[in-house]
Amino acid sequence: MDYQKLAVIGEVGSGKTQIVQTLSEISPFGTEVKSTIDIGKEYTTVGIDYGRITLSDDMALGIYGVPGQERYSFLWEFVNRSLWGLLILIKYGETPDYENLDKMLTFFSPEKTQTTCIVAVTHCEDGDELSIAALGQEVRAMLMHHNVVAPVVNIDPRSQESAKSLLVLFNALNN
Amino acid sequence: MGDEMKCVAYISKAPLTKSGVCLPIGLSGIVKASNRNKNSEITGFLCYRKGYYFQVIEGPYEVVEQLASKILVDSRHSDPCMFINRRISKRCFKTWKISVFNLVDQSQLFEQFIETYEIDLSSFNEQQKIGIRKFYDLKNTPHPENYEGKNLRLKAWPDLNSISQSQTIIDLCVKLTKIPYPFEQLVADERFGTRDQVVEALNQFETLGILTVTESELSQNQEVETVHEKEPSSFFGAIKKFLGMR
Repeated sequence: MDYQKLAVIGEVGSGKTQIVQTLSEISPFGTEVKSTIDIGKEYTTVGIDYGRITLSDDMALGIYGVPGQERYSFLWEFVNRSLWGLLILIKYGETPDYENLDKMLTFFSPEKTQTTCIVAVTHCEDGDELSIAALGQEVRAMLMHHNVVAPVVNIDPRSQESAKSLLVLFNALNN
Repeated sequence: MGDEMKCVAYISKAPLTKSGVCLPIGLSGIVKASNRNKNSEITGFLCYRKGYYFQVIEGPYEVVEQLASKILVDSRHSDPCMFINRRISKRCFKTWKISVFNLVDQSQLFEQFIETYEIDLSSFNEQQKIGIRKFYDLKNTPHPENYEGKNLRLKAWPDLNSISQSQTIIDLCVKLTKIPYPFEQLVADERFGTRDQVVEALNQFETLGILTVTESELSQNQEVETVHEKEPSSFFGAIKKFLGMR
């Protein structure tokens, strides 16, 4: 069985559950529970969102959505083995937690492990072109600090087209 | 005072994260706020490069005064060093917004600023000169006339919001993402267009400060080393098939 893993990681509300759902041909298991703190939404993922794309009888891509907060780094450990790709989601509209992103990039070290990495900015429909470009610049500065060469793209996690274009890009970068 | 205008220009440091990384944190917030300046007749630009901001604001005297005093105490930057702070008779910029440039600024707006304030710039003290050189001297960075015998790799992907998103540019970025790649092989691969088109794209990346150019190591017979293309994996083919690409 040729089974590869795509890890999706991001802060609360960045669209992990949605993108896993959109990417996957099966529904993620219900891992959302009612949040005990005000995070701007009622439910948040406390475990792993899992999805799967079956490519053939003996080939599949597993999609793992894991929380971006450092306190869940035991879950990072779980997915950080022979990754096909690392997708980092950033939510437009809030200044990202760069301390946390710094830790995340240190942990996954995509440059050292030669893991293909893409950063996707979500909720772009709420922003103007210039502010989105400025956010992309903040993120690229962080990536450069970690010597990670990765595209920063805008996506809509609800859109099949966005999800497919991510797969196309991951596949091209992995070839 | 009614029609009087003012220009303020300064360089400041971007904040450090707790772990000591210098990042333009809050840049998107600054841009969002600056969009509100459209109605207050403020023009100018904001540029970020390697831990430093360069900002020029011009407009009605009182409005610039108030805005500058607010900006100078803003916690999203530190150590502001103001090098222009004077009345002006006309604006340098016609745009009614503040622009954020890419990683390296060599845009027309920047040149326009340098030209208009040439006299101010020539009277700078050493500290001010050092500050502005972080941005200005880049203008004189020579671009290689050709990339023959060179290996190329991206340091970062370009901002896909502001650069052509053509498939050719994206394919080229993909190729230059993981390992240094010989120029000759890029040209030989017709996916990236003609030699001139490849050079043009590489020049653009270099202008943005995101291209690493290194010498190729020559083999004994002096042929430029070749990166052997690996065979596409069956997984690659399976994903393509899944996406309906073949």
